[in-house]
Amino acid sequence: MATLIVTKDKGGAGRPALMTVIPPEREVPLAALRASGEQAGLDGLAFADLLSAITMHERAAARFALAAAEQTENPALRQLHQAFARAHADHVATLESLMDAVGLPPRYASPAARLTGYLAESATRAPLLAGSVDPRTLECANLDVALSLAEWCAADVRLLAKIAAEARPSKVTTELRDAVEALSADAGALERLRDMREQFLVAVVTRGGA
Amino acid sequence: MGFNPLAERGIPLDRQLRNWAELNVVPFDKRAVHPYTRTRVITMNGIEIESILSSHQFARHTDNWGVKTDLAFIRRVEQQQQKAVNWLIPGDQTVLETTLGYEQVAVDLTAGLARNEPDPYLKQVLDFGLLEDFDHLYRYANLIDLMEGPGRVVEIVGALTEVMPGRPTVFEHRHPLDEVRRHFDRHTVDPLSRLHAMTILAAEQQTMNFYMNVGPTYVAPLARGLYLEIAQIEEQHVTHYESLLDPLDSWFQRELFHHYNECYLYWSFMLDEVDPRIRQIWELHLMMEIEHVRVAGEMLRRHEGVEPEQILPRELPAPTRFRENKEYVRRVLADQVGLTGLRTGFVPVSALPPDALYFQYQRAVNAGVPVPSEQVIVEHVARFGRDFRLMTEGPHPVPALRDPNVMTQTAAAVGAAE
Repeated sequence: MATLIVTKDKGGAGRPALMTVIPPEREVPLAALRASGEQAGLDGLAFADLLSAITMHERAAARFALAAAEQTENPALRQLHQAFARAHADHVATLESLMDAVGLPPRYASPAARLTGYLAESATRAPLLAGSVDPRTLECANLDVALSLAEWCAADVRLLAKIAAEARPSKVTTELRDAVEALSADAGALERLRDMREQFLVAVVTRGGA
Repeated sequence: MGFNPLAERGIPLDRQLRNWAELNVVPFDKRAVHPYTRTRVITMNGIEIESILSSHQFARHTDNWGVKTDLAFIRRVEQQQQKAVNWLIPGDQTVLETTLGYEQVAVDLTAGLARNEPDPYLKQVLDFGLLEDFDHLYRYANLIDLMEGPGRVVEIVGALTEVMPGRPTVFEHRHPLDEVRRHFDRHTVDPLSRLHAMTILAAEQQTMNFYMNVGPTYVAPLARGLYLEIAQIEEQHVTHYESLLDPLDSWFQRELFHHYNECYLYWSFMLDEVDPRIRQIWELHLMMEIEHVRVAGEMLRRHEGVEPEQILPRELPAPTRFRENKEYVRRVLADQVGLTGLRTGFVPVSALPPDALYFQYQRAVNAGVPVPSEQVIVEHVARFGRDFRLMTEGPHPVPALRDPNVMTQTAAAVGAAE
């Protein structure tokens, strides 16, 4: 079961940075972070923080998709957003399992994850300006956001695949490869989203409706 | 199982509006009211004001009709709640008497929160502010003695809170760069820590606003000066405490957390309230806030895809209570009176280098001019032969601050150097 928003109650863990305070019992020791990539010859701290950031991005994308599905009046778009909500949530579950397998707390929220979450959430705030646009424009904006978040997720999966290719053979590398495979399972989803966005916008521009 | 606002049914929003007669409540009797009833009233006024102001800020960041109108409706009700709460303050309670109530809030609320705060850094932040507000109570107590005659302090604070020098106000003036603190992380913060930070920020913000506005209503230069000086410190405290909040929280999340905290405090105060009429107000407002939590949670779900249950605890934490903190305050005083802020941390003043920003700022505001918080003690000693103190637990825990006839500036300088 994926955790779409990390809190202390759900096992949130972190490491302090310049301005952040982490309760001592929730702090992940640097040694544990470094150890996560050791077997595979990776910089464990960078690896752990990256995995955490990628997971946080998927969480934000899943929450956005749920909200977009809730807000749309268009049944086809609702289905699309719901499908992406499920896909992003599945990715979160896969990534949390990977983190667990490499010795990291699955809800580790790294400093990089905080920033990634902030960036992704910032992209999802179009509904705050719903009064400035007609509903159709807002639907377009939500499709834009969905596409941006999904493209970003796909780029993250490619990145993980490259890291797996560079890593030393080890249990960590195997886990990473398995995770990449699972994350790449529905490679056509992104293309379907691109198509849907194009169809929607083409219909709006050429026929005045979607 | 404890109390969970999400599992309760509140009063529907459209049935929450009250008429003028309901809002223009009969104030409490300032001579008969329990000091902690007064502090609960002051606290809830600050909590409502913070929630209202935050909602206004949120409204300025959206033009979404549904969001703006939900906010506007809840905000109107919260304005009514604020009136019903703050109008409990009687007109014959002088501004200085109310001020003593504010500082009693600052002392016993801060100490109570610090005693229950699970995070060591956040506890340190609370302890640091505690000693400063504790000193403000002492300065205002001396002012009210001079302006309104003896006996007023005991009438207001009872014997529940001691009155004696804390970290002397004259030494509290720090450079702005030494006032910003670190913040909790929303992924790991204990729910109680979040509520503590929101509560103390609301209380201090209210105090800042109160002093900013009532200070110039006095004619006496000493009173004008003291309010001015302490109002500046309260601004420092707002900076100090608002730093604790995680900027990652979205507007929708903040809206929900505000109403959740209001639920928490109305529920907490309902448990302890000794005045049955005021207890009914806490109860009524709790039922209103349960609905505000529901509406804010619905907005969060719709616009961010987050169920309120995902970010709120399963039940309210143990209640926040006003109670005596004399021994605790004395212990903190003995251990920490000589601390000052250095960037986001705290160090003994004696450990600062001579070119520290702290000393630059001290010179800018204190050098070569009478400092009102010191003047008030000088004048009290000149008129009554000693300063005003209300000590029930023995001599002052800091030896350098024991002499009631010595200007505290000198004594504290000794204490700080110890």
